[in-house]
Amino acid sequence: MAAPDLTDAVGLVSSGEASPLELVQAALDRLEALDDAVHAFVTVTADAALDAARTATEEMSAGGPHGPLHGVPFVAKDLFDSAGVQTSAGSRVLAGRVPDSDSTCLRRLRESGAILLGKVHGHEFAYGVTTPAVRNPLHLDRVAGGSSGGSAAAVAAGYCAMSLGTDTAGSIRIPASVCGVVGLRPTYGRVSTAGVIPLSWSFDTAGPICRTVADAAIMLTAIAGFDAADTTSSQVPVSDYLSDIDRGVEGLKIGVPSSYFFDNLDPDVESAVRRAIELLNGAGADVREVSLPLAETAVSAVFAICLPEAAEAHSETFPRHADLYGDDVRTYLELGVVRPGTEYVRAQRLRAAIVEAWRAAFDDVSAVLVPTLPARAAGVDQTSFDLPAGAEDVTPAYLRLTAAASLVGLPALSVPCHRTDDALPIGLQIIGRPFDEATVLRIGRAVEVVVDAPRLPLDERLTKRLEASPA
Amino acid sequence: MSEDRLSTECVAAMAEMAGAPLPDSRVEAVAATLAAFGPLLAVVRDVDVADRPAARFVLEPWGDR
Repeated sequence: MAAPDLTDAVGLVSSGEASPLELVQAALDRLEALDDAVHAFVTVTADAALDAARTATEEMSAGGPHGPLHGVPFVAKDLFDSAGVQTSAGSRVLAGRVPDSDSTCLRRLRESGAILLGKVHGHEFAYGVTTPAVRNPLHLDRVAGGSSGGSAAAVAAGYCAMSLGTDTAGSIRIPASVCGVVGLRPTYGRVSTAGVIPLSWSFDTAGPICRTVADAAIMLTAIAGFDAADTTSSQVPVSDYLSDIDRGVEGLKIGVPSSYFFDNLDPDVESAVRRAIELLNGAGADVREVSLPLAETAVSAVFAICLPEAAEAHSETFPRHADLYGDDVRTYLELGVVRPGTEYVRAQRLRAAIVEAWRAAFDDVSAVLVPTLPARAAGVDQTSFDLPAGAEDVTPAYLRLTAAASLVGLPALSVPCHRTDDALPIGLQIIGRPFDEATVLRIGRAVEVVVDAPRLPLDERLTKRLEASPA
Repeated sequence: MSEDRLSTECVAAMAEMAGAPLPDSRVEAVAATLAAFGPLLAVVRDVDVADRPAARFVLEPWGDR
C-alpha cells in the first residue's frame, strides 16, 4: 500500500491506529519492491529508521507524540547534510563524504518527530533538470525531472508522504510537475539552506515535496524560520500556513500574465492550465490580466548569474577533480569560468528591473498563475520537445517558466491540474508575494478542490511488482 | 563575432585569459554548449539597461535584513 498522506499519517499515529514502526516498515517494504526500477534512493537508512521508529512507538505508549510529525517517515535529497550518513550530491567528487551534523532542515524535521528513510538522488550537484539516475514512477520510460528528481519520485511512488528538495531555478517545481505531486519553492530566505551543498547562492532554496497542498503546508511549518547559521536566512516571522488554507478563492485577485508565459506551450498543457484558471474564476476568484515587462529575459538572466556563481561554488573542488564530474556539469562549470564579469553585473541589473516589474504587478493581485512547464515529462533519452513554434531543448524548455520566481526570490507552488484523460501529469504554478506562502498554499488548495486532478496510476510494471511482492 | 559561432581556438583563449585553461579534449564540448546557450546569454548582453537600476541582490528589496 502507498504511504498515507502526511495529514492522515499524523492522525493515524496520534490516534494509535498505526504505529511509527508500522509506517516505517511499510515504507521500507514498498521501496524494497519498487526502487530497483525507480532508482530514487542513493542510501536507504533502514536500520536507523527502524530504530527510530521503535523508539517513537515506545514514546507513543509512554505518553504520546513529542512533535507534530511524530513517527512519520520522510526522505531528503542527497544535497542535505545528514549526520553519519553519506551526503555526496550525487557526485563521484564527494563519494564517501559523511557529515558530522545534520543540515538545519533535516534537523528540524527530526525535532518534529519525523524519521529519515534515506537519501535520494538529485541531478549531480543539483545542476540539471532531469536526474538521469531516476525514473518517473508514473511512466518508467520518462524522466522524473530535476534536480530534485528522487525527492519527487519517492513521493509519487508512495514510499512516503514528504520529501526535502532544493530549488535553484526550478528544481522542486519541475520534478513535482512531471511526477504529479505538489512542490513548493519558498521565498528566498524563508527556509534555511545551512548544511545544503550550494549551487548558486543568490537562488538556492530548500522546500517540501508532498502529495497534497495541505501536506506541503505542514512540512513547511516544520522547516521554515530564521537560522543564524544561514547568512541568507530571513527574520520575517513565520506565518500560519494552515489556518486559511481551506478558505477558497472568493474575491481573491489573481493575475494571469498577458504575454510570454502562455507562449509556445504543448496544447494539452495550455488547455489544462487555462481550464484550471477558469474553474478558479468560477469559484469566485477575481481573475485579471497582469503585465510583467521583461518576463522573456528572466531565464537568460538566471543562466548569466547561475553559471558563474556555480563555477565559483566549485572553485576549490573543480580544478582538482574535474575528471570526476559528469560531462554536463563539467561543461557548465567550465563555461561559468569563461563568462565575462560584466555579463554577471548586467544580469543583476536586469534582475533588479524584473523585481520592480513583479512588485508593480503585486499592487493589483495577490498571486500570478502560469504553467509550471511548457511540456510534460520527457522521455529518458529525449533531448528536445516538439512544440508549436518548433523544437526546443529540454533544459531551456523546463526552465523558461520557472526561472522568473527564482530570479525574483518569490514563493512558487506547482500543483497538479491535469484532467482525467491526461496520461501524464501537468502542473499549474502559483507565484506569490514575498513571504506570502499562506496565500500561495490557499490558492493551491483551491486548485485541488475545483480541478480535482486524479492521482494517476503507477507504471504498470511497478503495479506488477507490487502484486508479486510478499509484503 | 557572434558567440554562437565562436571558434574552438577562441574558446580556448577565453579560458586561458580567465586563468582556467581547458584541456584540448574539453574545448569542443564547451564551444558547443556556448553555441547552444549563446542566444540565451545574448539576451542579457543586448537588453537595454540604460535606465535600469544598479546591480543588487534579491533580498534587499524585501527590506528585512
